[in-house]
Amino acid sequence: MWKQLNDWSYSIKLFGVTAVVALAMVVLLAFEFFQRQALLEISNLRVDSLTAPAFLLDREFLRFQQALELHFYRQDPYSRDALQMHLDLLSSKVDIVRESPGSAFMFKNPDNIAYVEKIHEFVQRAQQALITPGNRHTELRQLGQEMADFEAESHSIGNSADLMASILMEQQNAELLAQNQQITWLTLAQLVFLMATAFGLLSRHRRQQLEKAELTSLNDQLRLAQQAAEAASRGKSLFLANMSHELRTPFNRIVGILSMLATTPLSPHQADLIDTVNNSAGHFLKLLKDILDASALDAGKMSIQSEQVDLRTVMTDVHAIMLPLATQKELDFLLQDVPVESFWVKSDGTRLRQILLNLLNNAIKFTAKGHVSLQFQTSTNPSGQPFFEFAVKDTGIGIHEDSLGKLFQRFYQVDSGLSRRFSGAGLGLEISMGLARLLNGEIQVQSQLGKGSTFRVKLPLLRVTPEYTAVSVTLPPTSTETNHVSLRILVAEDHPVNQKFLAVLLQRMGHMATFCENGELALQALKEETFDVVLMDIHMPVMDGLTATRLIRALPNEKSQVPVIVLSADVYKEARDNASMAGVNAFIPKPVQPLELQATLDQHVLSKRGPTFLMNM
Amino acid sequence: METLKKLPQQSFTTHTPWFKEPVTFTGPLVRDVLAHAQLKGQQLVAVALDDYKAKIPASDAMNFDLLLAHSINGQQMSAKNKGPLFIVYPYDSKKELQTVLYYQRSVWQLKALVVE
Repeated sequence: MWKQLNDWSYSIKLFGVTAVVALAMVVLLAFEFFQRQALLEISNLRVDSLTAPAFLLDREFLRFQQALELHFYRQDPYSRDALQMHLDLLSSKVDIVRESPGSAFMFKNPDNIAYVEKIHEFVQRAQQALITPGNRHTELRQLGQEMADFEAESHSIGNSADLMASILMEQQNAELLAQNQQITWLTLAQLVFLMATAFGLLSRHRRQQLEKAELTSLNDQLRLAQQAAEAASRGKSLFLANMSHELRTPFNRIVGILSMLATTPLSPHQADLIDTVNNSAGHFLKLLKDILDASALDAGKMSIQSEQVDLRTVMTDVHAIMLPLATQKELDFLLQDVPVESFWVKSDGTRLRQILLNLLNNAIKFTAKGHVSLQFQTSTNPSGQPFFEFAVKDTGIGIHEDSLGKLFQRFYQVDSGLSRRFSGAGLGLEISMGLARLLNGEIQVQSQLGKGSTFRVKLPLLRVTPEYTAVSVTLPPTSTETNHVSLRILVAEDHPVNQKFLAVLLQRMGHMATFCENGELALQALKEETFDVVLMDIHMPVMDGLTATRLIRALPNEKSQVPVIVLSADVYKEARDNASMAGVNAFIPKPVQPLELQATLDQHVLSKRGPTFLMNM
Repeated sequence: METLKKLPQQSFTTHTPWFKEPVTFTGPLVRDVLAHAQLKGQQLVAVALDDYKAKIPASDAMNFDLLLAHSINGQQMSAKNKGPLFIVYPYDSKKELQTVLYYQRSVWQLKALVVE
């Protein structure tokens, strides 16, 4: 605002100075024009001499007087001719004085006009006298007498003309001097204004340079500060990711040992304790996964797989998973508008399930009584793009209008009072939103305090026809007994605790496991024996899992086609990409979840062995 | 005078310092007069009835249509009105002729023209 005012006053000043200088120049031009006009006027008069006519008149006056006197003495025809000629000369001089434009100045003195008229009239009478034939002695004497009378006057006309000319020149000089002085003053004023303007412009330029420099330096500082802040934020994210990653390994062992402990003979009390620890471990695992997901989203490393997904299956899956939780809280969990048959789209089934489970989990968590529902519909947005939508509705506590905007922010929970009642890391909605955006969609929320909330997941609709009729299954049915097929499994895992855990798990699933401690040994074992599938750790001494996988794929016989499933604590996209580039069939994050392992085995091993082992929903 | 009138006659109208209005002068060109009289020289000295004298470079007669006027506005001039002859420059044709230098060479009431 101040700057703008400053600019205004500057503009007004600049305009003022410019106007003054321009005005001065106009006045100067006018002066010069009038001066030039005056000079032109004088030169246009075409005066040969200002004073000569007056003096010549006087001289011819004297000559005529002389000729008149001579004529009186001689009275001969010659003197009469001379008299006539001198009268003609006098007459011509009178005419010159009367007619010449240059003598105008002389007549500013009225005496001069009177004299010239008098002599003009005298010349006329003299002409008359001379023309008349006969002796005009008396008239000529009379004329001589008259001439004697105004002789003095005749002499004075030259002096008068001279004086008038001097006065005229003096006047002209004075006028020129005055004009010259005015021009000088105006030029000086112009000079002063010009200097002032130049100085003003210069100082303004300097000030602007200075301001620019300040701005640049401020900008640099800001950029540095921003870089520092971003680096700090990245550092924290990285630390968080590393920490949760590191926490997984010991946690993995705890879960493994718990599983082993559960298989030993236990008293009911001990079994109860182990159950409680298992629940806590499950919760802990969920938190770790959330943190890892959030940091992977942050770092842009969340992997999205475009695959064929049956939305009908997705709905029934999440319903099956969340129903026990809802039933536990005595809530109704309804599915609405479920597609009557399979509804195949291109999307990422895993991430879509993750989003829905998050939202349903929240809905159940924040609803004390009533119902939770999951509704499906398809539509087109205003720009004509088709999309599908899952609406998760609850009759829970609702969210205050003011809080809706912050809902998808990190760690945000509606209020601290609720935080105490409802546990959670506060990452769920942020992750869901991040995933929805990765899938080119969004999540919208409507809520009324005390009445409930509706979360709508809107994702672009890309319908596809499935390439195979078999149902792709990522989650197994609740019971593992339904497909009791014993597989020969080669496990490459260097860590003894993980080995024990997997041994117990695979044994309980009814499979036969052979263990080795690194990739090289695994390769060796595969060459010697036949296995249905290889479970491969990545980080192992001697030879890592990916190298081993590449070497397996390079084997000359059919053993190169054995399914390889990687078990890794690396959840980042790069790890998955590297694994699939090495020829890995599937990727299971650690700690290994029995259900996930089961599902993966079903999908990659059992399904390939024939229709008998297909899982049908 | 009769000889002068037999020479080719020229006329022009011009402003002068001696008349308020433009006037028309008629007469032979000085260079024709000189050629007729077979006279050559560096300069001409013009003498007026009142013994006024002016020196005129001979080149003026070549460079300008210098007129030896005997008539003004069709009227023959007499001593009473600047006659009988008047050396006139065509003042309006050139700015440089509108100066005192040429005005003082314009001799009226011419009585003699001496070639030197």
